Amino acid sequence: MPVFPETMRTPRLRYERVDDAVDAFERYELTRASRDARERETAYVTTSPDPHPKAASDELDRFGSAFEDGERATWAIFLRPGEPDADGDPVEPSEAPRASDGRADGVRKTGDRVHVGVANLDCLWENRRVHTGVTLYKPYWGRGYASERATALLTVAFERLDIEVASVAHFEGNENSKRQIEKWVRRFGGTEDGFFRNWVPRDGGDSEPWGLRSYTITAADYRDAGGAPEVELDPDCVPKPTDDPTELEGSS
Amino acid sequence: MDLFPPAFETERLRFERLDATMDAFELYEHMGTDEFERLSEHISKDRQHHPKDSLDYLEESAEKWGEGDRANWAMFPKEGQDGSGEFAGVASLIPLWDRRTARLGVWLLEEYHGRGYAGERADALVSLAFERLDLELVAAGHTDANDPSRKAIEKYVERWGGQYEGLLRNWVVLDDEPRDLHRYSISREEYDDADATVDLAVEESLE
Repeated sequence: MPVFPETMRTPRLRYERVDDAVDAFERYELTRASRDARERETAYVTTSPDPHPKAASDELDRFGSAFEDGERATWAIFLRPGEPDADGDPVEPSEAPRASDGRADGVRKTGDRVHVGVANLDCLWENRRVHTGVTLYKPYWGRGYASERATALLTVAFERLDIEVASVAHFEGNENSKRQIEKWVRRFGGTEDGFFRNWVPRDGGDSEPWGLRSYTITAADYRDAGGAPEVELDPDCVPKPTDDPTELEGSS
Repeated sequence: MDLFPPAFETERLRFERLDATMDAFELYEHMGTDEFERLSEHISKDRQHHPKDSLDYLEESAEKWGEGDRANWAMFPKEGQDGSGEFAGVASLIPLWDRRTARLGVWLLEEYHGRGYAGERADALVSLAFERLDLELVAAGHTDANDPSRKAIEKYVERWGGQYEGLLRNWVVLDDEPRDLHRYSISREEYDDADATVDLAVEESLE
């Protein structure tokens, strides 16, 4: 039995273990679209798009093993019913920025399965620390989903895994990440711990490394802040995946 | 070819490539003791339990030296110093090439504490990192409870115009306990601006 919950729910979002929720073709399209969008919008991209569906399939297998082994949990994030675009219609240009190539990155007409991003939790068990991360597809930026997702990850870390410290970091200069991180770090009484120069290699070491600003929330901070009672771990009412999750809305 | 100098001298210390100058039994005499157990309380290096531990450590040290991933030097006080010619400890420079960063580490036997050797060693390694290895950043850290190390690091980081970067919580695990690490760094620019002088004589072969 994995130590991580396979499904979770917060007021506007729900989460499913990614290797169960998403197939290789869907993952392939999403990483490519997401990477394109983030590259256009920000300079802060460390991941490479999967070069072909087999790479996406291998990646999902790795996510699955890491989930089973309790090393790293990766969840796909979906909109809950009632959220804007939760029926899978593409985001209108007036509602949110979208890619100029006409494809609404990550927006998918898949019934009740609008896949908006990925949340991950890396466990350093010996350090009794987790590191939290998120990727949100571009049309869903600016809605506070990243902060909402953080409440779920902290609940897993502190209420299920008995972790001492949760950390999070952003590249210096990435104002979007900084804003969303500061928001929930403040809510849970965490601290900014410093700015670490030359911390992340870039382009496999060929370019100038990035500096990283990092923050932590301790178990005590989380409890003093009253935890996150709105988070439900392992809810049993997650909608079923549709038959064809690979259909892309508006692909050109 | 080797990127690291096999030997160099500062005002009061001589440094020699560890695996070339010490054998396993010699090293075990110093790293298999109760004294080393006390010293290692704050560093991520454990007491050696038999000479095979020492041999493994030397072999790993030789391999990383050859790959340019870590330099370990044995330190010996020079003539005129108390304990001259005796093994005093190990100085390390760990390049993280993809991060253009050199991490520094050091331990000294208790007899050699309080002489400012750690600072003298740091000045030499800072200079090697920037002048020879053309790295951009020199970084060092200490655990929360390690006051002597904090003082030594603060002193040379200030001398070179560097910064306290912050706290890395639950960063290192010593004796199964996660510990916080305070981290400092000196950039190439800060080093150039500080314009401090370093007494350093490099030898390209080990006599």
